Amino acid sequence: MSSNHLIEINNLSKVFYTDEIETHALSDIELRVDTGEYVAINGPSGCGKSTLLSILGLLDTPSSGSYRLSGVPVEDIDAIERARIRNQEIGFIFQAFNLIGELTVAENVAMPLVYRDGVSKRQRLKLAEAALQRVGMAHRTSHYPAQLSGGQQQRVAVARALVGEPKILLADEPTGNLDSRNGEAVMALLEELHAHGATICMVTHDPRYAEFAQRGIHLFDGRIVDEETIRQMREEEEQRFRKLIEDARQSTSAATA
Amino acid sequence: MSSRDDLDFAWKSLAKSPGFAAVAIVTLALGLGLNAAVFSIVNAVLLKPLDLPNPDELVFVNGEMQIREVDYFPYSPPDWRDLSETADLLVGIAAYNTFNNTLKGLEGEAEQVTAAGITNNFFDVVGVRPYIGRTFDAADAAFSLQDVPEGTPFPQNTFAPPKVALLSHELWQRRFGGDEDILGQVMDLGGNQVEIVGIMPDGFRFDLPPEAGTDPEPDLLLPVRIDYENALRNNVFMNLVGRLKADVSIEQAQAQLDTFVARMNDRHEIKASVGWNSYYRDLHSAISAPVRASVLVLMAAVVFVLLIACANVANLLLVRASSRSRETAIRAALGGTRRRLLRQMFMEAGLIAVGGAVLGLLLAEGGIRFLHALGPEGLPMASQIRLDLNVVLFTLLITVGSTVLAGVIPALRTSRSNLIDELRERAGSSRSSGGKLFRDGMVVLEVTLSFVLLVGAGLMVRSFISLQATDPGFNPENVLTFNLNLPNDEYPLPADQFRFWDQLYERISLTPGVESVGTIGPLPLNGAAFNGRYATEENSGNLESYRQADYRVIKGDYFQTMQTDLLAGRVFNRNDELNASAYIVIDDIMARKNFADEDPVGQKLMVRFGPDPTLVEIIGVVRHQDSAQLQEDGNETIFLMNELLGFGPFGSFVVRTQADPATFAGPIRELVRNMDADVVLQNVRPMTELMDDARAPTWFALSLISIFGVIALILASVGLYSVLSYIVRLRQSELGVRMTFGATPARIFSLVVGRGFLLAVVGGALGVVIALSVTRLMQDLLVGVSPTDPLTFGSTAALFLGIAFLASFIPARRATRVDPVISLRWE
Repeated sequence: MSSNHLIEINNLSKVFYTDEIETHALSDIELRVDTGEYVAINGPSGCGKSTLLSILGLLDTPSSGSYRLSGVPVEDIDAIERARIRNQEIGFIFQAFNLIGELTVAENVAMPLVYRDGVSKRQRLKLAEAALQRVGMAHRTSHYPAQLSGGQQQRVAVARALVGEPKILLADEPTGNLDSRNGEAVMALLEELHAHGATICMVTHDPRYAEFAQRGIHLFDGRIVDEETIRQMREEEEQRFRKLIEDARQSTSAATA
Repeated sequence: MSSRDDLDFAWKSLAKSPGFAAVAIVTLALGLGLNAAVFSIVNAVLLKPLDLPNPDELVFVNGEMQIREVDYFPYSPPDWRDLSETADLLVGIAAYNTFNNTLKGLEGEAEQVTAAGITNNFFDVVGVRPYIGRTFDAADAAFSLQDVPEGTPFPQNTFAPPKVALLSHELWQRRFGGDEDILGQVMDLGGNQVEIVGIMPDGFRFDLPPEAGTDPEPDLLLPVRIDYENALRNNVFMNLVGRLKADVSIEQAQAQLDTFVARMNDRHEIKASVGWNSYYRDLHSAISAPVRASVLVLMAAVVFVLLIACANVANLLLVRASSRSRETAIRAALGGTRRRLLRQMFMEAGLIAVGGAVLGLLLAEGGIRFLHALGPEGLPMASQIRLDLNVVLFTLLITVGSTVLAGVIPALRTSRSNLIDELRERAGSSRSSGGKLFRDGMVVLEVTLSFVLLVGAGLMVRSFISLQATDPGFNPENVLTFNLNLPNDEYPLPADQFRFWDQLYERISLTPGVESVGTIGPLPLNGAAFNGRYATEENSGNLESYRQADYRVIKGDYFQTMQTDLLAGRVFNRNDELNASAYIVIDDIMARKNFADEDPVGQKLMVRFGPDPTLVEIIGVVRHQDSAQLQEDGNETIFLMNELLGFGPFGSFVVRTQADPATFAGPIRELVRNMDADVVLQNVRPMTELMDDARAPTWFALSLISIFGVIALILASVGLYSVLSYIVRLRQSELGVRMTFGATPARIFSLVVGRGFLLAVVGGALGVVIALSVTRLMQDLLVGVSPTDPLTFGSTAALFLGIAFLASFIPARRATRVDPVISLRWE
């Protein structure tokens, strides 16, 4: 069966086993992302957002279900082929930037191309400069990460994700370590990239930043839920919380009387 | 908090990491222990003064023949007497030489003993006194022709047998059970009646430089009784030691000796013609001079091992400090001053060093036993090698040094960190490797030093292989050697002695399994020297054209027994012996030096075996036989028949057997006992043992340097491994990033191995540079291999690359298994 979706996930589950405990990180995930889409995956901490992103990025494998990337089933391919696909088709942006401290900004950005055959060092640096130009960091090529602000480091990380011209950018809480001004700047950058045709999957727990995306996917306890369900759950949660406070207040009044 | 608190803190901190503490202490203990053990050699051989009163005043009198290139030439009795009468800046000059003799009578069976023949002033010069009894006086040393057996030919009749003796403490205890009533009793020594007049103190030994060839622990001391008026000046055997008078410098005494030398050369044309000279050497320096270089090379080797150990411990401390940097930063944030933090770190390094020192001293004690077991042949004062106060103080000193070396940089680095840096580093990018340069530098240092050591060990191995392949000029397999002394009273004249030897030849030849028998003196490889001058017939009129050759006195089927290669002519036969023909056989060195373009067979040489020069004919040329060392060719050699010498039988027996020669010792001993119960065999040894002895100094140095090299290699490998492991742990995040962006496991593997190789290559390259100059110091220890041997350097480099790969393998494998999801902490 073939399709036009860039990402197509059917009935995907991920189970972790720790000693005798079985943890269902993801259950029955159905997800499709088309080329050029900007999708935000949100949900509370521990809901499985990052596990899903790891599987999307071929850093992890599902326990069951299928995953097609550009129409190709990828759940059973070997480590070398996974590395090749990550290198050529996926760009990663991390919450903690994860730049290599011993490399300059240009070397950091060029690093993915080191693992691509047939790209000379000169070409690598040229492409890195171009990517840095796109994120407005071309004036810092010789600097080291420690010499940059958090916002600047994340821009460099975005350039690194872009340099190999991947089919999709996977961003994991890209604003998580940034103040609001820098966070918004990075979101503007992603929006700009999307405007120029980039496909983006972004994990975030901040509803404000999720609004930058075209489409939102809500994860709760490892399942994708719709917005109405989320609203109902929030209301139930709120009522439970109010009741707890009321009970506490009444027991305190009884004790003082 | 006081220093005591810091000590407690350091102690508890180490107790919490027993693995780290154990590795660091054992590493340092290896370095400190080896240094203590080898320093015990330096201490005994080079530093410790001789165990004699005012040892700085003692000098060795070195004679030499400069024109004939003879570096050590003992004195003749008349020359000693003349020098003694002249040298009034010295308390005196005494003679000391050792020989074997047969002791019988009083108690026990006849046994072979080592006797030292001394001049009666020996005790005053050397400064020793008997444990009980008396020393020798002028009457004991006085010569009397009446005491010489009738019929003894000249020049043997210029020596009278001793009448008194002093026993060593060891012989007194062993043979006479420490009985003090032994004084005044008479024993039979080689057929002469000798009265025991004293016992030497326990532990008495008298070392001379190895070229003197004397035994430092004789069983008894005897006064020499010589007719100085008639003794020959060319009969040189007296090794001389003198004592400078108080406030007299060796230079002042030398000036007086120079005058004496000039006078003697004026008086004796033969002395001037050979470039005879004599000079004083500080006795201690002279004894240790031949081994000084090799002992210092060994010391340098273990210093290298210690530096490697310190580098390893420094690395361990730094890794540990890095893993505790957050804790240190918090301490700093809570008010811990840099000084306090430094003190705590130093306390930890100090505790490790103290643990290392204690364990090291235990290792050193074991090491010293091992050294003694190795039997350092040719190492003077080897019995003095022990763990004494000097060694312990030295160990304390290097322990302090090691604490500073291993502890200072990790402590400085750690005390500099602070909480803000810590938090900032963890926030954004993968951690820059704090102390990277230092860690890499330590590994490079370790590789460099161990490379130099291994090149040294490699050169020693090549030397030993070379020595094993050296042709000694004969076939040492299946040859038994031994000596025997005939008692003077039973065999007073040469003819009597020859008769006994001839009978013994015949009986040994008839022993089943014996192929042939002969005698030779001195025996090859036993280190003894017997030499004299020679000149070709056409040059014999010119004294200055004489050169010095080794003489080998042989009898019977010596050449056949040793399976010596005959290169030209023939060897002696029975007719030659019976007629005492004026024939000689020479070796190929002499043939090359004197008859390069002509056939030596049939040529004549002027030689001087005895009182008068003799013209002798060369009848054959054989391959050179090494006299003392396998690594040097030695001197040209003349083989002459015992009968031609004029003295009685001389030398050692050599017996070729069809089976293991050691199994023939018993039957031959029995055979001799049946002929005469008073004749005792001595030095009964297979010829292969003499070969082993000749290789022993090289084997000794080889064993030690190889052990040091292997330990250094292990330490360097562990250092490389631990640094790479640490780097992999430290760079998990970076490796995760690289894998995320497409690095395959193979690329990650090669990244880590490449780092290991880089460190090994940089260290190896520095090692090559240093080894090229350092190995030149080993020149004297090497045999058949250049200090810059490309094969040794190349194979050591290959070995290091192999080790670098092995040390990198496990960390590299671990790196390929890094899980990017975990290392990047998505959640």
